[in-house]
Amino acid sequence: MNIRNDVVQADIGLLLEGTFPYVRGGVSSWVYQIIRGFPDLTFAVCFLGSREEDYGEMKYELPANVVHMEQHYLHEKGSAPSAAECPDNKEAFEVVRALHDWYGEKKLNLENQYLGRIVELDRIGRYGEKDFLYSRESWNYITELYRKNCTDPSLIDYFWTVRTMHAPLWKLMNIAVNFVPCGAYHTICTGYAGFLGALLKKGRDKPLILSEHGIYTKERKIDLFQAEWISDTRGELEKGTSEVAYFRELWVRFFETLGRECYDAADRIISLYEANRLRQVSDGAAAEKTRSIPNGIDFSHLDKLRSKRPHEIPLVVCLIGRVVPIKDVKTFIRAMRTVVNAMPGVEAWIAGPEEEDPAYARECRSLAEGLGDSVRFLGFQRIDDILPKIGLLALSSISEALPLVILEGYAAGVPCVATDVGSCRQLIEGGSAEDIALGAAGIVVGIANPEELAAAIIRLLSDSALWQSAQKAGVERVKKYYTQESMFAQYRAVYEQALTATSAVNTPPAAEKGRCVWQV
Amino acid sequence: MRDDVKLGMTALAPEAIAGFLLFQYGWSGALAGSALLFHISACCLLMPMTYTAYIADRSKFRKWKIALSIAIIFLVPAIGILSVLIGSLLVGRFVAPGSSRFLHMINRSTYQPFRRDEDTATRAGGLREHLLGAGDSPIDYRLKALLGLQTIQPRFSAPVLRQILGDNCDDLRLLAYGMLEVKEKQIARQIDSAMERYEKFPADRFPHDHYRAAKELAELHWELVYQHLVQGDVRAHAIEQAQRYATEALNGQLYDSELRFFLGRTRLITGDLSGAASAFEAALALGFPKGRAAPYLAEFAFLKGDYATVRRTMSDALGEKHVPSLRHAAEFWN
Repeated sequence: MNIRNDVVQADIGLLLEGTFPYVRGGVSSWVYQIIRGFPDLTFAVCFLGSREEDYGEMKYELPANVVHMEQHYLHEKGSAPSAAECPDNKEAFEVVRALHDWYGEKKLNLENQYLGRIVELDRIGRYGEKDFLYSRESWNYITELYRKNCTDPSLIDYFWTVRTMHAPLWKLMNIAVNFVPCGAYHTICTGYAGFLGALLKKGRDKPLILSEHGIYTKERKIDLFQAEWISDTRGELEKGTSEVAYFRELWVRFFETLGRECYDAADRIISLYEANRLRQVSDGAAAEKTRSIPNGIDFSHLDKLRSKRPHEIPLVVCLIGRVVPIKDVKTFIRAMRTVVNAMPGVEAWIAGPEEEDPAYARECRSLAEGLGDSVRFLGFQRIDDILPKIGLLALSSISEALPLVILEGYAAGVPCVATDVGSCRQLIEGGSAEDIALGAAGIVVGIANPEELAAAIIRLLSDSALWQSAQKAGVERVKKYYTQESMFAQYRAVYEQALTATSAVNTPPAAEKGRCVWQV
Repeated sequence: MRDDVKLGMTALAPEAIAGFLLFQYGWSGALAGSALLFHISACCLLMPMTYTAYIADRSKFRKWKIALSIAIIFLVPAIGILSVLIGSLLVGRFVAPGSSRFLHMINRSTYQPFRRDEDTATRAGGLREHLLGAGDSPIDYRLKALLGLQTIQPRFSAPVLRQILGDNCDDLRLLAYGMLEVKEKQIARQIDSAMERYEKFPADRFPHDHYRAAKELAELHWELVYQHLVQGDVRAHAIEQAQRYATEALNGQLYDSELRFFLGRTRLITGDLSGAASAFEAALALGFPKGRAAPYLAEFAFLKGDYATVRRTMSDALGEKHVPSLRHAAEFWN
């Protein structure tokens, strides 16, 4: 469905999965920042979601340079082609076999040409969803793979898992055909959006940029290892102590493969910090394509907030973020029990939207009940309003990349206590030797450890000299290494390089308005 | 009984033997020949009865009897053949030519022996070794070992999972956190639902339901402690809640020996020895089984430094059949 369709082409095609403009959060803020940071470029946004009912209204107003916006829901019951007899198509299935063999052998750093050939076969009508769903060749191939690889006894489960798994890919093929022509495509994660990027790259031969905040495949893997909807029909005697159910592994491999396709197709792979860049390389990204560009914030604007701060250190610890399990809000609340016992009068604020996971938000509220007024749930708040009122920022997340909120807090003069995830240690203690010399801008604690978190909060709030030095280090660090200007300059170079490469190839002819231009 | 009828009934025996031989596993000429011989002998034994019934019979029904026999012997197969012919004609008429492609012979299903991942077969000790003992184990091994903990009781897996939270590997940390979260969430959900019942049934109007809800709340809070899912102040809070609800439940049901003993255990863990002693005594006076009480009474005596009582109590425990897990500890003390 198209929300905005002002023109027939754009400079940058942004491929977004489960984020801007329908979900608030760090990644969405970053996307919003990037779009507004390049007013001279036009953006076409393709939003991919699971089901329409999972998302409410848009949480961000679309900037004027977003000239096209469309949204697709991959797990909604779509209109699959009606069942019909398919002629034998051995030639196409040879390519399908070769593609899966290539995936199975994990030939890293070797070009995969098979996906491009399948895209081409789909375009000329020689292979499509119908063939996958209804042809005898497809059935033969699926049963052959079942016999060869599947350690779960249920053929029925295998068959339907394979079908369910591939259903969104066919939707993505369709989206790739119809998406507006762009000078370059920019995906913000691997996964489905990254695979769409790979399809666009194969079909249109335009540069693909990948900016990964977290590592999508890793997060999916953790979810899948715990998912309750994945069946395991093995008998008790067939299970090994540490053997993962076949379908669980199949799903993990599926997302790993999507990630590898995206890494393979991307011309430039960007991470937020060095550890994630190394992870991308170990997951199959070619090292020469990778680089790190850290997040940056509008320092000059947030710097003004410091003048609004009271003279005394406010006895308020605030967790700014969505109330969702990954933020581990419960550990923060548990830590506050110890903090309040040791320092009565300290308040804990939780500032973030609760609608994304209402059940989790209810659990958090119920956990906070015994603490009376010491814990307050404020809902979504503007950082300009809240940062001058708080004494300490707390981040109890179990997974983060490079949290913007820490940088914003620093600029506004708020030190931070954060868990040792993502680049939090680098942000608090410094990365390079020069950075470390600036001092610690807070304290790093272990994850899911309320006692350690509480001790760190108590230490910073009760030691004024330590708090002042942390504030000073935070301001210096963000000013020196994490400004918006620095981030924009690096992205401008990336965009310019991509768009220059595009203009060197060709531009879409007017006759192809709104359709893709295939480089056959 | 007439002699010919007796002979006829005797024919059943060789005929049964012939039938038995025909249904033997495998097939051979000798087996078929033997079956035939038994069948012939059965026929011979039947002959006098057939003669009396058909040939020597002078009654007016003789012809009808012969006709009926011939009809049964010859007409039934003839009707069968005719039916098959008519059926074939109908199929030829109503099923279009070429449509036989809808009817396929499917291949015989083959037995698929289940396959196991041979690389990962390991027991609980191996899991622990992969997870904690060897930091240089490949990450996939460690991930699988961590998943193996899902099959182990939370009381034993939770401390290991908590250790993994400090691991260098992000994947392991996230998975361990998720596994702990799932376990805690299950109990939290049960607490919520018990709390709803607790509030729905006030003690003055629904004493029995209120007692049950309070008892359940006490046990669920204790479960968080027992399974090592809470720590520090939160653990202290959970113990406090368990004691609070247990005491409240006991107000409604004074003679619940199990709950009195439970209260003693919660006091024992916080070091309230005199409180624990009074609760244990009350429980035993109300009939709480001594065998089940033995390990806690021994622990209580140990904390007081009364080692002679520990030895005596553990010796009692050794004789109890339903606490086999205590055997090693009891043997140590004796």
